[in-house]
Amino acid sequence: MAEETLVLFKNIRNPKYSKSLEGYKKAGGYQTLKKVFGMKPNEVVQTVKDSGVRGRGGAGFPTGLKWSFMPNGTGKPSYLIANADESEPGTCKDRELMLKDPHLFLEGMLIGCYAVGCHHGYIYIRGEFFPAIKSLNTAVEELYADGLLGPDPLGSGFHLDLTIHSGAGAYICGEESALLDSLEGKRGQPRVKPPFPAISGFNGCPTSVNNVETLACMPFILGDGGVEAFKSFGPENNSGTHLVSLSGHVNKPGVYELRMDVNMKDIIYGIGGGIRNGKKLKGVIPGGSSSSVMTADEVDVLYNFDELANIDTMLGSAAMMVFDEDTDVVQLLHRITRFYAHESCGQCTPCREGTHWSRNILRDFLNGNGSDEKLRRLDRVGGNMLGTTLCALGDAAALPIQSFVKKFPDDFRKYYANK
Amino acid sequence: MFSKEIQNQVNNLLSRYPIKQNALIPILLLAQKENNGWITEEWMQHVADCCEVPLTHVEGVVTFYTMFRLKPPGKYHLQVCTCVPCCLVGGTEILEYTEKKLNTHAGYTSADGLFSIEEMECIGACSYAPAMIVNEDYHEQVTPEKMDKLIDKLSK
Repeated sequence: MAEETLVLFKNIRNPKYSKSLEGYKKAGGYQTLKKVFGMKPNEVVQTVKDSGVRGRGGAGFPTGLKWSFMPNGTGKPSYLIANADESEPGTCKDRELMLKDPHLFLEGMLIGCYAVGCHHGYIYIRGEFFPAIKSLNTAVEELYADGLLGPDPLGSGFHLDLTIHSGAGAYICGEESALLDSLEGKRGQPRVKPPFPAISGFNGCPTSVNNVETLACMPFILGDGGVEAFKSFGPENNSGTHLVSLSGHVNKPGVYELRMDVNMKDIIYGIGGGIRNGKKLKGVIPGGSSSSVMTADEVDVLYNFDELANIDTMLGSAAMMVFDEDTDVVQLLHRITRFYAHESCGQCTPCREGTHWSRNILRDFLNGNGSDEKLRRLDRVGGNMLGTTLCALGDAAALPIQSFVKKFPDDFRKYYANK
Repeated sequence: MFSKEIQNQVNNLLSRYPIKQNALIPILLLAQKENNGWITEEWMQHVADCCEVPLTHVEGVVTFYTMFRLKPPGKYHLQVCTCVPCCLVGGTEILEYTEKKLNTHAGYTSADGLFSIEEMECIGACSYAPAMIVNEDYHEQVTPEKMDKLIDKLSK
């Protein structure tokens, strides 16, 4: 049976651990930062590249590669922004880190700042996360008091400031270019790319935006653990452990740290304790609400980036939402489309209109006004959002629609079969 | 308009960004806190002046983000999540139960002004669903019984 592999949660799972700076240092904290200050920034970037770590926010882009895009000698300041705007339905792992071991993430953040030459980093955290904001504020204050932030951390001479920036409730601000607009004090609307943030990001300066969990991997990769150990936690191209947010109809929902070569069945029936009330599994939304749904027959697969991409869905932010045989998938999809209709920023027509149209069509089904034509129209509206918008929200709204219609057609027909 | 303590926080925020406009959202959040949980045009103008941006820009920002409120909330603002993982395990029923108990609806405030309800999109507590936020505190694995207890406690 699958078990947790503790890298990021090593401290959190220790009942005697104290998350204060003192406690974190006692557990070996900030030793990696010390080591990193003795390396050249490009050596740090190369090590991160070698580790193969891919962004844990949803896109799975190689972090080392992202950092290597940061240009030198532009005459402008460079920025590292931590994306702590965790809002993808099903995802609650970054909150866990920030609440229970803020210094692990912060050490990673400081390492990242050094690697990309950033002297003032920002943590963009979603506004509703009041307890996590408090936890981070305390930790950052401790760092300033200790001298780990300020003019000369650990005698490195590398001046480093950190600011926690609260968002104000908008899913779209998790998209990196919308996040940057929001950080600049604007409505959070995704930008036209290129230019990418590495060329023109925060206030037009070179910027790297990285997920909280991604940054929290850095103390292990560059410290005691090392590249080879990190790579050994998963198959080629899927290195490291990752935090899986398990929710829905399982007996033991929770956030678990797993290797990347664990079978989904083991996650649901082993770690998750199986389906509650002895019910049968009907399906799983594997990587946040934006990923294509999987049926019960499809879950015998390794839970990682490439394996899920192979079967036309995605790992996303590793948020597994499990639902049982009694679930009304039309209602479920209606709830998902309501989310996207609420969160579309309104900039691109296909998404602004399509998210509302699809929600309205599904409402018709629920009100007893479904039909074959409406089912086809729903699928078409989804298709018209795919790839036609500036950011991935259009795709994120379309993929669940198209996959639910394709994989559970009978559930939709039930709504109008007797008419 | 800000109290002395909050004005210090505002000044500190303004000093932490290359451009004053960058501090707009955090300062608006402070303004909302100062004004008992909602934003008026007068406050928008004041924040616009702090950040050196036009009032229309601030209005655009305030109306974009769901955390900014243009009418006063109750003393206790119950933000009940009904998004995907919460709705799978009874979040919608919790919302309905709360509405019935307080005899009001999401988006409104109870007659005594004590409670307002808001239906939330994902609040990021999915593995501990159903969840809600009351003012600034998370409540997890909410049941009708827990809701009864909480409302009784807050009503006293």
